[in-house]
Amino acid sequence: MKEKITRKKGFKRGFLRFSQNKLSVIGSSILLLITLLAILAPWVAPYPEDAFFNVNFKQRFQPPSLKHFMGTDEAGRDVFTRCIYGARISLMLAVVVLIISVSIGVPLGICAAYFGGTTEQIIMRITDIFLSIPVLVLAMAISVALKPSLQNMMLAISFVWWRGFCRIAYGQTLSVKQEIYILASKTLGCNNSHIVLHEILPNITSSIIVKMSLDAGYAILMGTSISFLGAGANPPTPEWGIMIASSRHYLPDIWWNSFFPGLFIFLTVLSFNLLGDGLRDFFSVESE
Amino acid sequence: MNNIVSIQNLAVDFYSIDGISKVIDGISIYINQGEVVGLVGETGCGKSVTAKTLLGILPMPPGRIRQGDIFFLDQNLFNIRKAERDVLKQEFAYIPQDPMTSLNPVFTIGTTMLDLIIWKKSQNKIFKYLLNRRKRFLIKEAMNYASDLLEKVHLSKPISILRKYPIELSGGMRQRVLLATAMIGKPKLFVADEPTTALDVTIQKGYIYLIKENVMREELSGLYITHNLGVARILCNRIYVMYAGRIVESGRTSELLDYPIHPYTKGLVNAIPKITGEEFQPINGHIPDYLNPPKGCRFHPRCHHRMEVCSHIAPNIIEVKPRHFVSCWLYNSER
Amino acid sequence: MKNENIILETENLCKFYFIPNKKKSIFHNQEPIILKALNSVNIKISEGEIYAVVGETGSGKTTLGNMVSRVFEPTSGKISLYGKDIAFKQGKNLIEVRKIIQMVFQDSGAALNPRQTVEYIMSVPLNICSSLGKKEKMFKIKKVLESVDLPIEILQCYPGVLSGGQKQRVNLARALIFNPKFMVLDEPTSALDVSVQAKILLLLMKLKKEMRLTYIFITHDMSVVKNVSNRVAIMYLGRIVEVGQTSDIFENPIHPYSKALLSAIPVMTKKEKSMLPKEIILNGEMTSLEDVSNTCPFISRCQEKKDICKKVECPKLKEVNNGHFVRCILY
Repeated sequence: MKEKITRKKGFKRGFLRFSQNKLSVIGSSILLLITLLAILAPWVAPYPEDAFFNVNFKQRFQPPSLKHFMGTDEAGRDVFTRCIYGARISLMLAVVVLIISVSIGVPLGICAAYFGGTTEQIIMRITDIFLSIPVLVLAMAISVALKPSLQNMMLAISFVWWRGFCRIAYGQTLSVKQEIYILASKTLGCNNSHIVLHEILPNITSSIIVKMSLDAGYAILMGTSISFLGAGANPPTPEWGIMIASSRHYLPDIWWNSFFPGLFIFLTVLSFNLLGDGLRDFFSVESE
Repeated sequence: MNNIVSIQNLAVDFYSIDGISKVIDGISIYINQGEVVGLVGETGCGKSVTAKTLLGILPMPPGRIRQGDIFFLDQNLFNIRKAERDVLKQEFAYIPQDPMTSLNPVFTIGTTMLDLIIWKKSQNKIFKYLLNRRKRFLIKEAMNYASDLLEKVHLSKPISILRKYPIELSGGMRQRVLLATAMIGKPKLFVADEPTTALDVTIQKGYIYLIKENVMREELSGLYITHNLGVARILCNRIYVMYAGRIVESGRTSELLDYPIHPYTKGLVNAIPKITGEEFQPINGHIPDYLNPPKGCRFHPRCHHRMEVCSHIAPNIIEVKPRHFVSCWLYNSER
Repeated sequence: MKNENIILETENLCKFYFIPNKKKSIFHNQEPIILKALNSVNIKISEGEIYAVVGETGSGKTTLGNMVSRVFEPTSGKISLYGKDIAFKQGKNLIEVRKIIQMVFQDSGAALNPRQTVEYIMSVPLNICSSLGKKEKMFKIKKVLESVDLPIEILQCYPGVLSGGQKQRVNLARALIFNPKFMVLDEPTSALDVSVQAKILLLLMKLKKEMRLTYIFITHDMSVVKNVSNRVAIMYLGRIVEVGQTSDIFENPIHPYSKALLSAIPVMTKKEKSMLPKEIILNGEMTSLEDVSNTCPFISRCQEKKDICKKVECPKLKEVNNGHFVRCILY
């Protein structure tokens, strides 16, 4: 009699499990919306010319209305348009920082855990040193040394962000290294590169991806904080942090210029967090 | 002969994203005072679920009790209030399967046992428990009681064991500690879920005789879950054979193992390699999918003797020989 | 003993683990504690036989299997496979060894990478030992799957959804892809249900006949040993204490530990019960591998011990009958 084979390869069950978590679905939808707005900014934004250099002093400080959805700022620029363009900048920041951190941190962490001995000690002590550097202070330092700019800010954040990924890759690899299937692969005669790439890496990917989605939110938060303090992007770049900083003085009467960028930050970071939770559920199904 | 426990027509479902799994479908088990009843079956037949439902520790979503009653000391556990149920549950003892993970590794054996002894003394009241924890003389009494219990399970130097952490003991010793822990408060019923699976053969032997000794001395009743028929032979007075959530055969141990009636029991007995060197044969097929169980008798897809009626209507349990019950159309004249 | 084409032989095989001695303070001489997992083990296995190795946790049977199949390297000793010493081979030479002798691990679920499909798992050994085209690889994989009774659809599944029996068969299939002559099976049926166990055992017998294999069968289940093996070696604390033809050992167990082991088997029928030695319940636990002095390893639990046992060095294996060896000073 033929035996029953249930549940073949595929992500269907993962999606099913993901969709059962209502909060993650909400979070991912918000994130999707923001991303779409960011990508389609030049076409969606009502006043694309307001994004950078346009000034329109006659229309400064208009409260939210049908004409200006989220009001105008101190230079008469439409806040909604600038928020959408700000989303572009922040999301790009998140992507660049994550790509650089993961490319540096994960291979280092895996090598440290897999080879052990001196390699492990060297890599992990360097990671410890980097862990002791506060990102904010470093960003300020770099902006003093070089000009404060968006690119330098991304550089500063990436410079230390890899340490978290190194740590997590290290811990996960250590626990996976002891599993019997690694021993079985060695017994079959696999060489080190095969074991690291095909045996260990697929097993730690899920935790790394979850951390990536959570870190995206924190990186954006860090970026806006640095810009808020003036060490990052320069005006008139429509970055959320700068927008909040420049309208600080006019609070609480002119609230819309600070509130709406803040709202965007909040929603973006929240949705990344919810996405992270959902991704955890998604990956846990596969190993069931 | 009074029933300590009587499970009547219990049915339990599990809700999952694939659907509803009808894991237990109408089983009835009774345990008398002073007897050890064995629940025998393979992985996935529902024995652990039965035990957990009896003890009340089955996670209720995703599990759900569809029908049935459980009577303990003539009280229906489902019809009484939670407070009364908690009082009755004091009379249960649970011996889990894996000694490696069943003891909290950050506490010494003494702390674990002490905690339980004082909790039992405080009659389930938290404030009383917190107060009692501070009384020196109670702690001393509890420690003496704990070392008494450890002596009863034949552990040498009980005082030094009380000071040890679980990781310092071997598997067999840990299993004995679990047995001693179960005996705290003189329960009336113990439920053992395959306690000897992780033990070596010689240690297993010692442990089974230990349980036998304790059962006789304290006049315990017990539900012993196992998939090892040899162990069931030594320890159990009666055996229930379970398949795919239903009881297929039950009776006195020696009678059932020497003269099995149901095709599944016969298949099991034949599949076990024996010292005599007789040929052993596997049972064809595999356990059914609980989401879509076979209609009628759940064993019929694998049965050599299946008939037309087997795939439509589930057979009743009838008494084929004195105190030997089977659920099979082969022996049921009312087809 | 008949010298029937011995293909595997070990000589004084030892595996020691050195553990730093943390009990004494740092001011004392820090000699490491030696754990003798395998202590001078000699075995001889003929072609086509099923050689069972029996013992409890800590006896060294898994370590012996690991040594012979070169999962780990021994500390010292010789392992001759078809006349060549494979104990310390490395690199390319080791891969040649792997093509002849393969190991099936105890925990079948843990031996399969949960993130790889069965197809990938099966293709890994193929990629190592040969350079076949895609079609030929598929053909080979399908052939092996057929021989272990697994349907082709299983190639697309992840190990997590397979049943215990299926996982075990995937492990077997992976080992068989190499076309080995020799398989070390570490408790292949311990984690399985009774009916599945019977299927796997019959499958192993069928494979042995079809592919002319030799097995080392590591187990603690004596009933399986009786039905399946030709010869059996009983181990205790890293040493073989009794070895011989299975029928001999069951009819006439000599070493006190063998007698206790046989008496402890939980048998079902009265007939079987009458074939086993009288009830012997051993006191205490197996002593730790650290405390091994040079006397008989079984001294602390032996029910037949005499004064002379404490005074003499650990006895050697002595031939008592034709092919039946015992390590006991009293016989």
